[in-house]
Amino acid sequence: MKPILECRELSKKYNNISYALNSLNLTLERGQIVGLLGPNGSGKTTLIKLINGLLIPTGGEVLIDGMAPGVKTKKIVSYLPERTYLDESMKVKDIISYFADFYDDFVTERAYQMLRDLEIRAEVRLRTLSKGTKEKLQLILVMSRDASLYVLDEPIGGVDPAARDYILRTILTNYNEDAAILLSTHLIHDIENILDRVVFIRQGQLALNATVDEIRMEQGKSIDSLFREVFRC
Amino acid sequence: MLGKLIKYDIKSLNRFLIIIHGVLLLSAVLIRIFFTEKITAESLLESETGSAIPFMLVMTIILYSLLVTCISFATGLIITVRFYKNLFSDEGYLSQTLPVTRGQHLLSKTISGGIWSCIDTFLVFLSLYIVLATPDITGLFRQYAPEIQAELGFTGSYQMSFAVITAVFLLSSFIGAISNVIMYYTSVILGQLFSGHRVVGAVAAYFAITGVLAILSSAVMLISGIFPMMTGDGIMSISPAGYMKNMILFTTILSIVSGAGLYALSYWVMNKKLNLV
Repeated sequence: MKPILECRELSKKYNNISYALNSLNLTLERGQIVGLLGPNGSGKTTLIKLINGLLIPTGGEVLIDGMAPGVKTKKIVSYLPERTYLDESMKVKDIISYFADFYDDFVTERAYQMLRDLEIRAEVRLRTLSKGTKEKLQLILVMSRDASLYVLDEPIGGVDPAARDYILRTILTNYNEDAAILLSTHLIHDIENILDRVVFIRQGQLALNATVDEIRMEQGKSIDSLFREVFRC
Repeated sequence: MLGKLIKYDIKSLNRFLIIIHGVLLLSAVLIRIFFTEKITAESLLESETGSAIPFMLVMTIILYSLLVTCISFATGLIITVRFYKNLFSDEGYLSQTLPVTRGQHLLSKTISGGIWSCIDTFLVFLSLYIVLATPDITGLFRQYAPEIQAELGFTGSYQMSFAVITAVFLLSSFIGAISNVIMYYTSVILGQLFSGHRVVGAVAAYFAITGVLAILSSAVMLISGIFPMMTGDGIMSISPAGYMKNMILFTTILSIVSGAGLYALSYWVMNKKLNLV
């Protein structure tokens, strides 16, 4: 089986000035939850956008299940951006049928179950929802797909701790051995326990790629303290 | 997938466009009932002796023209804003990660925007018809149709019924409307190439495109002699009908050529150059 994500010498430059990503090489296998960690401006979101075909690489290539970003990869990648991407004039139930319409792997029943758990009503318009509720809804939409790669950019940044726990549990229960989850966050401490592997990037380059067990055993540190050490300002 | 995209695009456009075109038709009906229906040959004669009808009529015509202009402008704006918002604002993070190609997005937006642009054109004509075609006017028109046709030069090889003339005119307007939509989209896409002010960039691109097209079309018209000014002796060398035929043919060809060219440019830029930042 091909690796679910492969970056070969992947580079991205904005406005011909500085590299947001600089010759990044990275291979991720299925069946793991990977934390993509790095300080602000290190290139995390750039990498995520390249995976989703929102940016065109300046150099190198990114492959998802052996394919360059396109219709086929978009069918198997479930992406949560760091911003609200919903059309505010829609109702919750409209956006659910929108996802069901476009994504063959979308499980409507699962989405409605999560809506009930988080007490979001299907009849309301999106513009009446609070920012945190919109974020929860987006995560519900993304996790209701049976994708091969989930790419979550700051999935828990704006939600309260109780919902955060629910979301983390959702991520754990919904994903299977054939899938991988790549998630970027600053809230390392909260998410540390669910990660199998961490990837540190600094100034657009790979700084570390190791399993959480390796780090704990060999360095005797938590990811949080290792991050603080590696990226000390 | 293309069908689904079109479905959602049309649905989104419907929200505002149905309302404003409802206003257009409603105001046409009201003007017909309260003004044009009351105008008869006799009432116009009477008014010369000091009645208030001409003033009110002039005001109504001005306001109505303003309304039609605003609604057509708003239609173009709403179609363009939908294109920009759905693909290049935050919503683009969802639209552009759907399992469809960028080419399908462009085609879907062109079809949905084109359909609404044609509906707008048709409804503007329809509202004009509602306002103007009172029984008195249509009666007069029918009575003198052959003379009017002859006066405009629709004789000999140009002899055709008004139905055919209207159909040709509508068809050419539809092609122009679709071509305009493509021009709006191209402007938005070129605006995205600017690193900072992308909306300002889009507006600048729009003026640049229209400017280039105006210069090109004037050049072609002057060279080919479609301009009646070319006769030199101050007398129009061709009849109004001949002139109209040339103009319609010319603008339609220009619309088709520029529309196709701009569509190809948009497609290429969207696929090769665009980053959602």
